[in-house]
Amino acid sequence: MSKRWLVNITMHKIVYVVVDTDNKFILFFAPSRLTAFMLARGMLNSHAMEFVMHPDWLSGWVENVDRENDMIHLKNAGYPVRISPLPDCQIRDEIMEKRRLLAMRSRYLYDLELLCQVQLTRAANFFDESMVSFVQEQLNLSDPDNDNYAPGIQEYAYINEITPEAAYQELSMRLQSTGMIKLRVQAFYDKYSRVLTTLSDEKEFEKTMTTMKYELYMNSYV
Amino acid sequence: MDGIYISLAHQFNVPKPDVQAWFEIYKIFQPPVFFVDRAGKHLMPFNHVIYPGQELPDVPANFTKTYEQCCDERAAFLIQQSRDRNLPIYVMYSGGIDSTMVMVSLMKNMTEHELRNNVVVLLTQDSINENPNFYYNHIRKKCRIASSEQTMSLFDKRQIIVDGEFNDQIMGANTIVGMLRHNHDYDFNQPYTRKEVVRIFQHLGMTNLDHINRWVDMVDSSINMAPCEVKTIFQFFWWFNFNFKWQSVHLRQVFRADPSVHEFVDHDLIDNYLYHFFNTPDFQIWSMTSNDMKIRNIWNTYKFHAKELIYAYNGDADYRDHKLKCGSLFRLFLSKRTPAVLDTDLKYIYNVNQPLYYNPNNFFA
Repeated sequence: MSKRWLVNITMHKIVYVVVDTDNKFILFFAPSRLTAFMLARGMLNSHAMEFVMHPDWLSGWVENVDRENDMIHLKNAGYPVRISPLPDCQIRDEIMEKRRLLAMRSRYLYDLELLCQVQLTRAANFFDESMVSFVQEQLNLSDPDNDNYAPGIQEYAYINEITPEAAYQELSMRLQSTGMIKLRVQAFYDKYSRVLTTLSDEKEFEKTMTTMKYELYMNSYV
Repeated sequence: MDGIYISLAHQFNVPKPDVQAWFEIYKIFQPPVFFVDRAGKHLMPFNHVIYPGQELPDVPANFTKTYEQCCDERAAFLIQQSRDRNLPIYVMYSGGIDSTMVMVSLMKNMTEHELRNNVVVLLTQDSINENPNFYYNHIRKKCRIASSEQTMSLFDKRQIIVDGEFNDQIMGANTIVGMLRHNHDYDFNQPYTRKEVVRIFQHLGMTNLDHINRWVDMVDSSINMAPCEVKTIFQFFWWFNFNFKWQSVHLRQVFRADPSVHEFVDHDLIDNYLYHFFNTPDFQIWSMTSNDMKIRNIWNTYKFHAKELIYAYNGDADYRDHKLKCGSLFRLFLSKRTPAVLDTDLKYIYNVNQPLYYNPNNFFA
């Protein structure tokens, strides 16, 4: 069974939602995992969830929901996920205001996320990004001052027909570049997502986004 | 009135008529670029002060040095600095024409042993991609390398940093003329007229005709006082770049220095540890006396002379014939926090008090 689930998870889309912790009302369908989690972080008594869009898990309801207008809540915590309309008595102004605020914040948070993603293009320095930690380990195991290099570094050098010293420096350079770019982008995302999750006024959002764009890339033009 | 060495222009966009006329240029330039008349004749609305030593040099009548001679002499000077002061040379290398010319000059003038032990080439994968043959055939075999993403934290007086800045200023005007490069029929060498210059500024995005004319007035007036010939469209924008944008280029890296090294930033650091390879009086004089060596008739011949010299060293005809100028320095500044002002005390200022710097007696008033 586990094999079947794994295959299906990779094949199916995922839905991200922000849920009211108190009454399990789906406050908002978010465009991405990160945005969902940041939205929840900025809204008291809410949390982010994600569902794999698989018929056995969601009973097919996601496709039929009007994500902007339907007022639904989760009937259960486990799978398959079942929903029902939120009882009228629970549809309060406070909930509608939360929904409005989340929609507004989501727009800007998702923009921020995409802008940061674009910056990460430059950080793609390896054929397979998952080998970064192995490369780091091989670099750590090497001692360039004593001309002593880990097997992975030596093999990279051998294949590329360069010295182990040159291989060590080349891999260090790529790792350092990737790391610095990602770290800066992460810092920017953290800084501005924190601000955006506290705002509620359209003008403030616009002002913050303008400042962010200057800091992220416009100030870099020479 | 306090003085500014370099600043972000949008921090000064206040609703005064003279400031608005000045700010018109930022419809085509980005805010980190700013302009100072190196001849000191035309003042901007905010008190941008010429960095000592960056004034326009005089042109001696008997100047005969070639560009290659200037390059070799500069390389020899830097190598000697490194030897005398026992400091390694860190070269900021992007793979572009300017920094490749720097590397060629150093490689020509250094022993293999010295190159291997005393030079670190700062680069990224982008630099390799921009000039792969030079990286694989020369740098990879002869030099130590490190990531250029750490460059802005190296301003700590423990090494000499060398970059390819100012080749653009002595060779032409990538920023503006480059924007016209897709118009293959455009004649850069036609005599410049106000009408054509205004048309170009409008084509690039400036809109207020009065403001455009004020800028043209200023550049035109400066050209009338220039110690060299400025007659064609290409030369007009070269002069604009060479005279007015110079200081912005001189200080744009130190402006973005990592806060961890701000304590080291003083005039000694800027003058004796950060060397822009093409920033010497000789290169400037060569530029003012060698109009025929900057571009031929189409855009891909821009910097043809530098490309020929690179070819003479590495034999890469593809690079010589097809490499186009493209900016790359901005990559090092992406996603970095930039201060609003570096003032004449070399203090980094993040929140600007505009009236402190406002100069009512400016050219745009």
